[in-house]
Amino acid sequence: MTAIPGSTGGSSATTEMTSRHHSHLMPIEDDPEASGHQNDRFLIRVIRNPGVVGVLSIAGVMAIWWIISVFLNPIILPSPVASAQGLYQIAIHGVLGPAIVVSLREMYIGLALGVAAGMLIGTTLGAFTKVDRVMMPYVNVLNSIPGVILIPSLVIWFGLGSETRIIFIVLITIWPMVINTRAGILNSATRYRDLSKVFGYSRIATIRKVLIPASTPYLLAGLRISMGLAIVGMIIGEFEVSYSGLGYLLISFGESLQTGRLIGVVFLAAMIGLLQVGIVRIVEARLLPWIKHS
Amino acid sequence: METREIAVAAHDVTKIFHSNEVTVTALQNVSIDVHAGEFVSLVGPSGCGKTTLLRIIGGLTNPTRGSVETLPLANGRARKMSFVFQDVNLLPWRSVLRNVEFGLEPNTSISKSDRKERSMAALKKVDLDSFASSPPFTLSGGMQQRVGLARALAVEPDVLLMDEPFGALDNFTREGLQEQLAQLWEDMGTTIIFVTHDIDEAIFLSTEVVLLRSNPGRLVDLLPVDLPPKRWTYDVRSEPAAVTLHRNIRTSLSGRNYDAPPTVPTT
Repeated sequence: MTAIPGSTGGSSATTEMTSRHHSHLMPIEDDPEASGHQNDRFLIRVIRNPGVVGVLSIAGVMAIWWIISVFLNPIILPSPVASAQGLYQIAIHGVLGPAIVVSLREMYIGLALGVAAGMLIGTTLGAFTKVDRVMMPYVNVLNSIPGVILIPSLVIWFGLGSETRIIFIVLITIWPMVINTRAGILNSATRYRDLSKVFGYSRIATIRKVLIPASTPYLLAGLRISMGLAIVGMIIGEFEVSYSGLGYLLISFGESLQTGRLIGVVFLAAMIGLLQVGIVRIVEARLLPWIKHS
Repeated sequence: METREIAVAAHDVTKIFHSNEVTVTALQNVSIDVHAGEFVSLVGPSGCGKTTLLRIIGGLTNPTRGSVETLPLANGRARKMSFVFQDVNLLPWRSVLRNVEFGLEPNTSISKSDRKERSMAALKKVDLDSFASSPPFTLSGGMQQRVGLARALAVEPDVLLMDEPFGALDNFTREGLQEQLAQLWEDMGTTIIFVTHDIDEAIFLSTEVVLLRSNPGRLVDLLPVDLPPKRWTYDVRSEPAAVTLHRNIRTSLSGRNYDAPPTVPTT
């Protein structure tokens, strides 16, 4: 069973023999060359690769979509190819580019403001019990109302411009950050209370040097939720209050039954969402290897 | 007889915890004087209030009644205290060195380079200077505990409080750390107050053991450990004086007197 160092080729006969005897004991990955069923093993490894699984899964869904679309009126469900063509057409006619710019600009401004304000409020609530007692009921109420019901009031107060949509995105992305930051600060405050006391840290220094860094896993969890909500906010805001942007394109393609283009835009929005998740993942893996171990 | 300098004095300390109509007297009228340069262990079963007493001395908990006084040094400077926690409490996002620097950061009179230098020196004392830039989670439990010790030593404390620092470690690691701590203490002469439930550990390390019993937590005895220094150089546990002391401590803590072993009938 033990491999002879430096002689993987020469020892293959022995390993092959022993591995046949003990194959039920061995994980498959351990001896890729050892058995005669090389192709099977290769296939198993390919199938287990998460990237391959993802691609296969997407291809499968596309195939099913395409098969179904063959039997349906293209106004109800256009084929994947027709949807891609729709997206391509609006792209080359200069409709898509400006819409993406408008939408993403509003979304990221709103998200940035919402996240920053949410962290600030969450930290304050978590670190100052008295403020928390006074403010928490309002946070709970505001967090539990669906953001959409604010839109009519926002339109009255701020008009139909992009400020209104940005404010709307702020108002729906802020709460996950508030709730998560507060939870993170409270949790770390209990955990590190003795430490900062022993070494004579002031309240502010404790918040800055201990509580906020200790809360990063919570902040990232909140950020992930807020990023998802930002897309929702962007689209809904443009449904209700807009003559531009991706949400507006969705509405107008829907109303004019241009289903191919409509689904193309839906796909694009989904891709933006996927991109966001990827960004958070990379940030998490790069900056915070300690999270897995704490 | 010369009077020894007192570093920390606890006067009639009582601590009562209330929770859900249950009242627990963690400490009842405990008074001790800890003399400068001594290694004092607080020994007792769990629930005897030894950790509570240490936390009160360290200012982490307030006593219900009584007081703890940390006396200034002969030159008038206040005694500096530092603490080693049972669960280390390292900050996982900081490197080992930055964790040791943590205790020095509130002191704005220390420059950045000075802080780094002192922290490296502290790491050297616990033989971990080569791990300065490692993240703490890559270190073993024993090594993490040594980082905790270095962090406490970096502030150059006059009194070092240690709360069962080796309690969670395996036997081999624990004995290694006991030896290292004993050597450090003999080099530095810092006053150490050490909480443990391990009688052997207390005998190996201390110059004095304070025995506490539970329900209510109270002081039952205070015994000197009259064994020669440099205890890592000889087998302390089998020294007759240590064996006797061990038995006395057990008797005191359990409150029972042991019978002589039954004689084996001779044929």
